[in-house]
Amino acid sequence: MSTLLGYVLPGIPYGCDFALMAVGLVITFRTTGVFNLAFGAQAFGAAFVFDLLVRSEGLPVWAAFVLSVLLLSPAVGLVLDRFLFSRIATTNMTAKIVSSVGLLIAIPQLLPILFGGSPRENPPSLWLDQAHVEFRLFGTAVNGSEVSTTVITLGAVAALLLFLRLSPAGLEMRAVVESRRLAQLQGIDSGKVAASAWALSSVMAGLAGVLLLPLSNVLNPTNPLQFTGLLVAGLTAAALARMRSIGVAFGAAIGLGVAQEVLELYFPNGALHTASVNAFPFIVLVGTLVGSKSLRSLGFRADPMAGVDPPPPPPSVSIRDPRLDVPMKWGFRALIVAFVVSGLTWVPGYWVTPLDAGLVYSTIFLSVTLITGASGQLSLCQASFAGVGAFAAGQLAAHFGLPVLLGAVVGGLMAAVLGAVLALLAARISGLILTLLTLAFALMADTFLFQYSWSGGSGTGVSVPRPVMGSIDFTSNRAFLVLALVVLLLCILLVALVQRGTTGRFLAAMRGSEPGAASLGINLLRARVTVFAMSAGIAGVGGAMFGSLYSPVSADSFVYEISLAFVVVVITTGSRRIEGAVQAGMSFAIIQFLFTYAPSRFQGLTPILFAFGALNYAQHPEGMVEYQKSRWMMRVSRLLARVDGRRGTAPTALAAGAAGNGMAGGVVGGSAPNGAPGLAGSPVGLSSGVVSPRG
Amino acid sequence: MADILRISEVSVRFGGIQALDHVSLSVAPGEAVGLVGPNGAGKTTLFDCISGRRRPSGGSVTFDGRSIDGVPGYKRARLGIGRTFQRLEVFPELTVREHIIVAERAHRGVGALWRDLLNLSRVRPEEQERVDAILDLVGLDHLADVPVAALGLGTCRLVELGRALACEPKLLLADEPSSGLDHNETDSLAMVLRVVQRERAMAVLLVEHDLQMVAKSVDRIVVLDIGKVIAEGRFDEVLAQPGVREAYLGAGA
Amino acid sequence: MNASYSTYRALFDVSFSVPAGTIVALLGANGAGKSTVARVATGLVAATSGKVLVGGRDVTRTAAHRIARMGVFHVPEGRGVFADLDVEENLRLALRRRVGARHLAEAMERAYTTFPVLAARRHQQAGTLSGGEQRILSLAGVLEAAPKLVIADELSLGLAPVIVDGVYEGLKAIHARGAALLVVEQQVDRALSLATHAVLLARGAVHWQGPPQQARAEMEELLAAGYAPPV
Repeated sequence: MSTLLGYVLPGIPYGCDFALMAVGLVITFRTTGVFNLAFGAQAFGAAFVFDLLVRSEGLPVWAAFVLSVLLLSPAVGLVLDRFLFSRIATTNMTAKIVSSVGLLIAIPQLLPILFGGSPRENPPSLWLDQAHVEFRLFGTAVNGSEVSTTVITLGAVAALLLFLRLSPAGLEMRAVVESRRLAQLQGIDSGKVAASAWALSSVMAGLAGVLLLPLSNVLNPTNPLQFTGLLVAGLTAAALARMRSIGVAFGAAIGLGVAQEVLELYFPNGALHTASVNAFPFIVLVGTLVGSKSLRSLGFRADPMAGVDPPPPPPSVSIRDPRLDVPMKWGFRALIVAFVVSGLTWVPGYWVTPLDAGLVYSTIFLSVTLITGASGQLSLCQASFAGVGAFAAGQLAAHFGLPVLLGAVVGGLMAAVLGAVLALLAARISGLILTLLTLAFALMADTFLFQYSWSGGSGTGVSVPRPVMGSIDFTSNRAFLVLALVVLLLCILLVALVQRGTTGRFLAAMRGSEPGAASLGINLLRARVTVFAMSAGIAGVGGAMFGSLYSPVSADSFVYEISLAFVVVVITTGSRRIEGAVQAGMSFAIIQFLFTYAPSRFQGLTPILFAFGALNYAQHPEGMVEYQKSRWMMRVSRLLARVDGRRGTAPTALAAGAAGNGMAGGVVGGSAPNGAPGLAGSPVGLSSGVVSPRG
Repeated sequence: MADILRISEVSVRFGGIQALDHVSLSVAPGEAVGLVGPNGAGKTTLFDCISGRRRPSGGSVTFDGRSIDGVPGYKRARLGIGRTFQRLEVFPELTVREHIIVAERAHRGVGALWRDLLNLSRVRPEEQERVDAILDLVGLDHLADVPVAALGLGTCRLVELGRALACEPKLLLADEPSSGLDHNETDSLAMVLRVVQRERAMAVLLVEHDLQMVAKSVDRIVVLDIGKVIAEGRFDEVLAQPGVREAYLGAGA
Repeated sequence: MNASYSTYRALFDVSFSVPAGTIVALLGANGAGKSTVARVATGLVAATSGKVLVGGRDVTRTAAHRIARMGVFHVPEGRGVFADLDVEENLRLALRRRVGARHLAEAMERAYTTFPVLAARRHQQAGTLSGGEQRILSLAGVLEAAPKLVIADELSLGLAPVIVDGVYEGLKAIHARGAALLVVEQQVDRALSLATHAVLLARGAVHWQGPPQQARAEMEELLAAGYAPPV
């Protein structure tokens, strides 16, 4: 009994750490309507500043606490609200989650740039010292940091509960989340309330970060991975609380902390230990995400005043003048030839690797194009699928002597099966919860699936040899360039065939309107399983190529942040079109390479560049680069039309569209009184084609 | 003749509101029935029960001689239940023609992935003919290649109609096709609907507020109020009933 | 007053006024623009041209929450309460800013006495109330807040006649305390039984306005022309 207690008690402070995260997620969701994945990142940022103030600036702990948690954190919250979240308040869940993913990537990377990147050891404790044993309970030593974590967490959660229950401001925040408009009708300044909710949530994040500091012995700004376990447990507890009840979130978090310690007791070591202790939170998380009925409708509570908003702007329609098709096609082919010839001849050796990497990244990014661009689902585990491909190819080569290219195909198939299973698990869920499920999978692969010697290879990683086909040896980077290009082109062909074919049209239909697609007899589940499997397969093949390029690779190459970065990068350049993936891949690799010349603290700038692009997702769901391209296309088309006008010939595409639009009115008697100019015209009451119009 | 659709004792409750209260009605093959009633009477909810978007809490729906309770929505569509929506559910990025092609292929079940991968999913001549016929029928042939995002509301309603017709439904559920349309648009829509119904012997269940359009388009009407059927029969007879006028024009008089 | 949703024009030169202490019925078919008028008046939708005056003050460009604080109440169409909050919280939200924190408790007690059905469901989530109870909850918040003008949008929507009776009793009580009412309604007779003045909208424009006794005949005429109601 007392042995059991000896494990239960230390579980409680762990549970408190989880609780801070879980309660923070729930509170942010309830008071702002955003599932803020970046909550942990904000916590990390505040903790970092706190540590800096105490040890570098020599401030007393209380002053550092006031500065970092009570002043800086809410200021950051206000800035986030002002420049980001207030602008996307009425958009869909996907836009909100993409924005928070962008932040999650940007914040930890910004810190080393601002404050230098050296790891800091033994960070200070807010209140009581970790080294000091405060008292013994049933024979178990309880140290200072355990006491302070438990006490402060309990106090903070109780204060928050009281605040939300009793104070008028808490009530107003909950009201504003449900409907900004309805709140305004009650005389509430919704904008101000939402801003203060963000300030509050940020204070909460700051507090969590500072309390969690003593947990980690090293505070490493370039590698904020310490928060992974926390994120999982926090997500699980928040999901168990159905993102609603702070009490349940708190209780569930404590329960998880204790359960983990107790599992340690019963499975002290061996394979069962890793399997049970590590898998446990994921089993609960996935079970909750898949099984909970009330989570399924999360975020779908219709704003009763939704009809007040004007219809969303139409998606930018493809506007290329058909006469540009032929020159662009040949231009593209010429570019490929020039690329291969240059890569094989005059490009200096040290530049070949980034080019190789660009092609490999492009392949992996195609999987994002397929899943996010074509089907409108946001998947946060593409790097994990890539890992599956890489490790499969490596292990098969090492143990069964399977040729690497064959191994890559097998790896791709394995990833595809995993993807299909994931999609089947998600049969009844979509939107935010599906995205969280993919994130759960990424975290699971990260923390334990890839940690075995038979998967990710422990320690040294898995070596994936370069392919050798008969007399053709792809060992040199230049030769590999050709192989990577061939694989990429094959994948492009695959994706293009799907996009152009019936499946692509079905997916576009689904993305536009799920009820509409179902009313025609399209099997939405089958379409979704197909696209998940194909996307995972492509990621797997790309991953095998990645492994072969950078062999040996370990679990570190496919951590969940990489998945997030992938999605953000592709969304920034444009997830709808194939060339978006290629541009994303090449620019990602090349920019990363260029930054190797910069001082080490700027290494993190590559993801930040793209993360800021993702923050614009709500305004330009087609991607920043794509948006600029379509603007240029418009200009060129207009120019062509003007030239045509001067010559007296009929301008083709654009004019046909415009005329068609005019006629649309004519046929049924002028439906849009103000008329819509050109193809970019404005429909009335159309749901927009953004990633998830239902959100 | 056996009914194409028979709804018996269907009930739906949500949010403390009895949206449908033991509603029974049937539609004969080829018959056009108008479903009218004040807002909130449960008409769209009834449509959702028929097309499989919502599961009723009680009662059963029989289509074409077999019970379709528990059959998922997309399978009901394949059985021959077509639908248009009150709030548009078009696919903004697809052109008008692509809408019809998608419907056509979903209906014929030729959407297999391997066809795409072997590049076999080009539009074939006979398919082209059928698509053109539909476009012609709903009068959208000149707009075939315009993305739907660039079209007005009235045109989009025609696109939805054409898309539903491409699936060759035995029963078409038309949910307020005239809402948001002006008089001329409504007239042309009513005409298309009536022509198609007669030519193809397709049954139509029409929810509509515009009584003029209902009068032009249906053989029989059913009046729904607060989740219950309060009257049914021929248009003018039913509208003459005092109870119906009351439900419409208010109970205060 | 003109209003439009982006390129889609919903109203065409609508003008009318609601004198203090009167009840104006705003009638018309589905899509005639009734709800848009209500939304423009309370600042939820910006008018593209024209003016909205409240008590002589131009509020055309004023934010919705400021208009609400001036004593103009909009009971919106459909669900007008916060489904995630309970009855008590909804009332508190509606009343606190209007009667002040000090008088909040009394005002809430009065509301519960006037509408005993709410007292019985004090701690029930508003989303689980019946449609009629939700409407009464909205009205209770308005009644106790001493409004100057109440815009009631489609109060009878989807409610059984008996329930509508109860809701209209609430409206009468609000008027009895001196508020002017703008009643947007599709159930013509309901609205007319209450109104002192009627405005008939058709296709986004004022078709007719005058005394309520003649409104019925005008409505019948519109019905015959195919524009009208049912709904």
